[in-house]
Amino acid sequence: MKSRFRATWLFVLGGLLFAQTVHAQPVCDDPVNLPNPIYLSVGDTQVNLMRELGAKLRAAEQITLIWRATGSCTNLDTLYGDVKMSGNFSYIPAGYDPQATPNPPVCSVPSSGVLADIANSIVFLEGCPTPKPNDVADIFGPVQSFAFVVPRASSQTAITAEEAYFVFGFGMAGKVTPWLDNNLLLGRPVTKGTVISIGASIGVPAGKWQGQKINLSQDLASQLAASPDPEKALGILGSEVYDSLRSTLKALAFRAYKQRRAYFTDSTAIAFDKQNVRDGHYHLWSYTHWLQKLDSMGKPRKAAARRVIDILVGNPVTPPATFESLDATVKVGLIPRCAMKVERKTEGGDFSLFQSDTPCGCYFDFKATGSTSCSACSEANPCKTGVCRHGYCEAR
Amino acid sequence: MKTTRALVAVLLLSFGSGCPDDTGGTDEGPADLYVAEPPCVSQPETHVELLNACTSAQSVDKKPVLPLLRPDGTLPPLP
Repeated sequence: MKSRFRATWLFVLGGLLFAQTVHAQPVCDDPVNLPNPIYLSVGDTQVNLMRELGAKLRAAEQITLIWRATGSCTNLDTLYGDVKMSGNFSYIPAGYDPQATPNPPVCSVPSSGVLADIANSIVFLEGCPTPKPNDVADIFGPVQSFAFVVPRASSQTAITAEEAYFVFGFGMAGKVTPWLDNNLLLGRPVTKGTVISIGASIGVPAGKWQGQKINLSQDLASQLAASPDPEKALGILGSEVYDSLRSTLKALAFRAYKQRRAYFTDSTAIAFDKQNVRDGHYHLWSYTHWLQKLDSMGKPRKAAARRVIDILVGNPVTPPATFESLDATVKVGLIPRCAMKVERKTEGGDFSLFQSDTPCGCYFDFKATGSTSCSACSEANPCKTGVCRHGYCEAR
Repeated sequence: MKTTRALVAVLLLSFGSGCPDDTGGTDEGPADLYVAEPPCVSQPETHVELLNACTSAQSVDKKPVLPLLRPDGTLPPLP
């Protein structure tokens, strides 16, 4: 009897051990399977960029991006205060294919935690409460646009800044038809860059927004798509999140203050060229910021992290990257600064003309739309006028 | 004679096309209430010019109904 009891328990324990071995979550601190780790704290609108760029870095440079996604202001506080991160992180394994595997695997960081090598903000740093310390470098990255979004079944096509002011500043008390149900107004918590940036454009600070506060962009998108009353539902999303959800959602054209007509981010409602963001017809956008700590000499605390940032933003690196660094940016719906024709100095601030010293508008057009009016060029086929950049003749 | 009467009728109709309470008239005739949209800016430089620059992009002309807008067109403060 006793031996049978013991055998049973041994069998159960053995089964549990086997199950744990098969399904154990990997640890992030694994130098064999996750070599050369770079730990990032990024906004959830940047996850697609992590996947695309991470795949290239893993394949070309054996760098493993390991990240968690949370709000811009939380990301900044984590880096500024050297707050240790722990828990589950997404990471890029060897051979990762972003198309085949939309959800990358997860590894765990123990409670002792790790420091962030890179933090990301999708808004100007002044939009978050904590001032940037002097030992943090802030590198401007690609432009991220935002949109007011409705379910595809909605008949709405545009929203003005004035309407958005009343809808999200007053809720149903703003009396702006059809958006008269506070439960169907989907916003974000105050630490999220999306609401901070749009709030700056319409004059409603993040803390004053009416309606629901949905933590994750994907959850907001799902809730919007499943809304019981599509006509009354209205939410906000980063454009690169929206772009992959166009089958169920619809972005509204936006008319800024002092503007006469409303425009989409793209030249048409169904294009992907981000023309209106690039040339100043679309108001809702901000720069992504990529930050890292500096040592007492003012040098990057982790050189490999600085290389990742430089590749991401399109800065020249030594040795050069063996892949086109702009591709990941364009693919996920961000706009490299070299393709912009306007700039701004503050969140929601006025535009002024901009021309990059190293323009890439031709290449951006080709990658984003499949065509460009620019001439192709190479070392063997130089430009008759202008400068050959990324395979196309730019003005300079 | 018929042509003259028709011409006078047309002229009278054109002058009477404004609102009955229109106070914008002068001794030289009634005020023109139609305000044409300004032309788009072909070589923008300032923020407002950039927002309204000429473009081939699709756009939407929306005239929102804003019950809480102040009579002078300004926005009330947030609650």
